[in-house]
Amino acid sequence: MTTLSEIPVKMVEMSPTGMANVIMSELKGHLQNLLESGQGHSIDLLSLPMTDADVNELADYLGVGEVKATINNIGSSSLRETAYPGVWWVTHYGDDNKVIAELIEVARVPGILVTHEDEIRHSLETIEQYQ
Amino acid sequence: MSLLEFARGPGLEWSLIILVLGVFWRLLGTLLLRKKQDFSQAKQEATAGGAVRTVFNRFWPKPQFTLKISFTLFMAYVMHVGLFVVVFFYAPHILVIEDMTGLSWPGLPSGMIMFAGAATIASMIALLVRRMTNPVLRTISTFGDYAAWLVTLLPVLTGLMAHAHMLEPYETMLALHMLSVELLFVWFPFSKLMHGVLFIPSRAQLGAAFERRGVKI
Amino acid sequence: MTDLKHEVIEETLGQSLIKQGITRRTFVKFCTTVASAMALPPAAAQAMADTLSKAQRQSVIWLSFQECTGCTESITRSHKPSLESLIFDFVSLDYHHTLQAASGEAAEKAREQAMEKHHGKYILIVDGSIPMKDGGVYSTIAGITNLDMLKQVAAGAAAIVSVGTCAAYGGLPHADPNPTGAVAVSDIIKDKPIINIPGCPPIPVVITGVLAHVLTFGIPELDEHGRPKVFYGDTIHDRCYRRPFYDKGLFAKGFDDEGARKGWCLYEVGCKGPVTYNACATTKWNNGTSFPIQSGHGCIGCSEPDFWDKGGFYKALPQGSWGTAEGIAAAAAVGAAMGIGAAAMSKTHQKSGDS
Repeated sequence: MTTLSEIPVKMVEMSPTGMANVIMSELKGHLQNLLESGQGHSIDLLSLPMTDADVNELADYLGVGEVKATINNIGSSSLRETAYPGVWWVTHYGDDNKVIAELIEVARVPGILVTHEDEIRHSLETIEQYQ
Repeated sequence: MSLLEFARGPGLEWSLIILVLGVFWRLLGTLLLRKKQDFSQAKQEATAGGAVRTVFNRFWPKPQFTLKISFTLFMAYVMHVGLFVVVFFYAPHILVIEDMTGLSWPGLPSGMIMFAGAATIASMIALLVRRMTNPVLRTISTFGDYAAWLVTLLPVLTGLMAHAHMLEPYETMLALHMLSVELLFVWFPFSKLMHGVLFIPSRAQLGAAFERRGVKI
Repeated sequence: MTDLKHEVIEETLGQSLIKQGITRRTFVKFCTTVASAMALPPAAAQAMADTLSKAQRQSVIWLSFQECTGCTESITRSHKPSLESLIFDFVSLDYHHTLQAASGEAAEKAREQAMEKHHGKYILIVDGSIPMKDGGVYSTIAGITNLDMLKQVAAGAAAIVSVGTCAAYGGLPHADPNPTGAVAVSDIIKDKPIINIPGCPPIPVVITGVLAHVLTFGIPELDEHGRPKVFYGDTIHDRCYRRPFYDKGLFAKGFDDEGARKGWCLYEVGCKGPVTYNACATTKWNNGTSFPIQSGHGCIGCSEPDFWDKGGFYKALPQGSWGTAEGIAAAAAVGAAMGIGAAAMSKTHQKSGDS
């Protein structure tokens, strides 16, 4: 009797389609924009028709930089600076360690890392209890 | 009840009933008509061989006519073969037949079916143009001729359109296809489309009559 | 989850989230995921987060009628909190049978209070169908029939969301012979905007995505069955990874044959993918793990009206509705009789014609 894992349902791996190059070109525009206006931009990788080979090729092109950050909340999130400062690879994981969002963010610092005013205010309120 | 539910349900059920009823009615009504007695002496009593032979050899014209009717011959064959391929070798159609009769056979890839369907439509348009431009045909053509053409074209056309998901939503196109098939079913026994059944007894009768006189046609 | 003593919600959602220990970053992650699932640009996630956090928590009343609770289970998954279930923390869920702490008279009172305080502004979510037969007695809550409760609560709602095929189209209770006279929400309420999120159950991120969209950007674009086009715009068939097998004519004929093992198309074993609109083939289930066809079973069409009565889950789409063999045989017999009669009549006519 065959087990689940023996049932071959995966499709054949396809070679890169060139999407990675397209994204690299797009990043140029966003970096330019960041310099001129300070405005960042995110590219949602899951919304693009990218194969696994394309994502791997993009990862190869972008490489790895000096900064790595992990956010632990419901599931975790991993933020990695690429070899290009200003270009960040952001991966959000769900509670099953499955990827639920994957973005390339062009910014000084990924938006999600920046602490929100409301939370700072909350810190101020609660830290007073130590007086 | 939505259009598709009607087409798949009562529409199909009743059109099939009318088709079967009509075919039996006309077939038996024709076969049981009083035949003219042939009082001549039979050259040959056994006529079954002639009957069968004529049914089959009429699929190709006699050599004297082949060149003259080559256009119609070619177009008609493309039409009938295309229709046959589309109806009997498209997987969903085979499934309906299997449901009704238990018989099943492998189907053809969708691409080939689309090609056959397109060829059928093209040949039908060619034949219509001929009917409308040839002076003799134009004169003798009746409403029944044009109606039969339309009733046969619509299922093929709507079928291709449904398969190609043209004119969303798909359910509407599918319903229109089924309704056009149901129209064909209902039209079939009471029009010239009945030749699909009657050609067998018609050719057989002719072959048998001539065989009796010793003429092999 | 709000408890009994909870009343006026004056603080913003952003403030209350912090108090509940849901960080801003979790919130932004939720919005990013939902925006991505709805094919909105990442910037929309930021807009969603900003809009939601500055707003007062939206009052939501969830009415559960003739249902199996599968829709609530789909979104909450009682074992561990999921990102999707966070939606319940972004709203003030003033009434929900499964999730609320209160019960009995106290629960009904909470509902009435919420309805009064936020009259015209609360969102009504319904799961389960509404039985109509015999005055609607087949499903009652606190002695009030579902029919009456729906009408009462809908009167002050800003919008209604029908979660699950039961609320959207009648679902399982509506299946032949429908002994309770079950109907959909839209069969009863005609004067409020209704969004249908069908599915048996619907995919969790679809439920939360639509709710998040309603809270931030308003009602999304709906198709002719009232379903958000962003999730229900394509058929399963159009996005199915086994489509190449369909096009090549490679079908599994049974559930254990060679075709099934090779992962071929499941059309012949009853897949209703071609006529089913849902996000299963792209968004999938269990955070993108799989969906029925990937697991080897044909789509049952659970997000379509009357899917229980479409001829059977294992009958291929074109099969099963051509009538009966007896009917056809009867037609043949009648036709034959008419043929014989016609021939007899014409023979008599012919005979009398010769003379």
